[in-house]
Amino acid sequence: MNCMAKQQIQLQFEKIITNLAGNRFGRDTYIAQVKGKIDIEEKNIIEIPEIIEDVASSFVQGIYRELSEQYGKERALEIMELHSVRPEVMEKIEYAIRVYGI
Amino acid sequence: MTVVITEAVHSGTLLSAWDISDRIALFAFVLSVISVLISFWALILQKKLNTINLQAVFFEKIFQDYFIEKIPSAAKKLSFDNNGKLKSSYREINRTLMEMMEQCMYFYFAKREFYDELKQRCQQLEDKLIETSNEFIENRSKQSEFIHSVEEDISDIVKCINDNYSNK
Repeated sequence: MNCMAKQQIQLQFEKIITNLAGNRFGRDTYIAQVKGKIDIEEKNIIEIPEIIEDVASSFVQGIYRELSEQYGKERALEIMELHSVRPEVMEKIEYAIRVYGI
Repeated sequence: MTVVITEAVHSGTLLSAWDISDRIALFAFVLSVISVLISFWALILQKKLNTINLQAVFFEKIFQDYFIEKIPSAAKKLSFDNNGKLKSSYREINRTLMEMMEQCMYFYFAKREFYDELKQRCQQLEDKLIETSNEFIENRSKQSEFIHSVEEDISDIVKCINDNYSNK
C-alpha cells in the first residue's frame, strides 16, 4: 500500500468558516467535494484549507463515514488521508482518529 | 375380634407416629432447600457487588484527576476576546475531554452504554465550542449565556459519570 500513487483533493469552504464541526457536515463535504473525485486505487490526500484552525472529531468521523462503511476502517484510512499545513490541526485529526476511530 | 381391634388400634397409633416424624423430616427438607436457595442468591449478589466494586475502582482511577483539577481548570479559561470571538483557550476543554475519553477505553468493553453516552456528550460539547468559535458574539449578555451553557454541559458530563459510578 505504501507504493500507491497519490492524488490531492482540495476542500473549499465559505470564507467565514474557520473551523469544521459536525458529523453531518463531514458527510455532506465528502459527498459534495470528495466522492466524485476519489480513486480507491490511489492514496487520496484531502487538503484542508490553511484558513481552517480547528477540526472537530465529529467532522472527521463524518467525512470518513461512507468510505468506512464501504471498505472498512483500515482500508478507508489507506484510501483517504486528511491533511493540513497547520500542525495543530494535523495533531487534532490524528488524535481524534486514535481516540474515537472513524 | 380382640386381635382385629388390637391390630386396628396399633396400626392407628403407628399411622399418627409416622405422620409426625414425616412432617418433621419434610419441614427439615424444606428448610434446607430454602437455605440452599438463599446461599445461591447470596453468591449471585456477591458476584454483582464484586463487579460494581471493581468498576468503582476504575471510575476513581480514571476520572478523579479530571473532576478535581483538569476539567475545572480548562473550563475557567473559557472567554471571549474584545471582538466577540471565542478565545482559542476553548480547545483546552476539548483536549481534556478527549484525553478523558482515551483514558476510559476500559468502559468501551466493560460498560458500552455508558461509554457511548459519555462519548456523545463530549462530542456534542466539542461541536458546540467549535461552531461558536466561527461566530462573533459582541453582546456581553449572550457571551455569559454561552459560557453558562457550556458549564451546564460539563455538569451533565460529570453527572453522567457520577450516576454510572453509583450504578443508577
